[in-house]
Amino acid sequence: MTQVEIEIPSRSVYVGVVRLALAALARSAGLSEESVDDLKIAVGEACANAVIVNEETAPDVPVKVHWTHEDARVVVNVEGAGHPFDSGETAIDDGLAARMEMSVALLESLVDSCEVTERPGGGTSARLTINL
Amino acid sequence: MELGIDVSKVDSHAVVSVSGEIDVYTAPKLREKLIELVSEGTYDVVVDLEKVDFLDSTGLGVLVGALKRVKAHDGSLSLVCSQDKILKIFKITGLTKVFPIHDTLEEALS
Repeated sequence: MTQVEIEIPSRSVYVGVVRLALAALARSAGLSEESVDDLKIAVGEACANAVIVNEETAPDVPVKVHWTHEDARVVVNVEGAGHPFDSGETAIDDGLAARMEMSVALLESLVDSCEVTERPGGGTSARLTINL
Repeated sequence: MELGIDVSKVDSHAVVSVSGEIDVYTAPKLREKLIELVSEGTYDVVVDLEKVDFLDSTGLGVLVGALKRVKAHDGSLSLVCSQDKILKIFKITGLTKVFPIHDTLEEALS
């Protein structure tokens, strides 16, 4: 089992760093270039969602990304302090709500599963699974 | 993670050639450029995505916003994109039905 943890400040400029790092990890895990591209988009979306909400509600809290490669699957967990998928609770305007709809569509179709759960102590975790 | 934006005028159209990554960080730069073009009175816009390596939902939101702005002036916004990995993003989000998408710039301008 290989595990990697990356923590970024909640600023949009760092989302690209996570995409690059995860693309390199995905290649080392043997994913095809097409799957690497899909993972990059999905992780980028989950990270951007967490960063956008953290910037609004908890700018000093970092976004944590955990990569786990075990047997025939890869699991990526993205943890933020807010609730990006529940627009009722945060200050998300109409433009962001439309963006979130597209983001969810991308997440749902580019990985084998995407589950969003509440974390103990607050915030949410998006768990992306890719079966190899 | 740089975003390049070049604007040229072809007849009544503005051709906006974008290169690099359009994401949550860089998309505001593209949004500003597209708003600037509309506020200058350019309502027919072609956005060339051939040199774009990455596009996320924030970038899509910027393109949809620009489409709404030009349509408010009876204008048009079409895209140039032949890369499968970028086209896939438009297909998943249903935006292939919203934007005219062309394989080449010549086709978009004809």
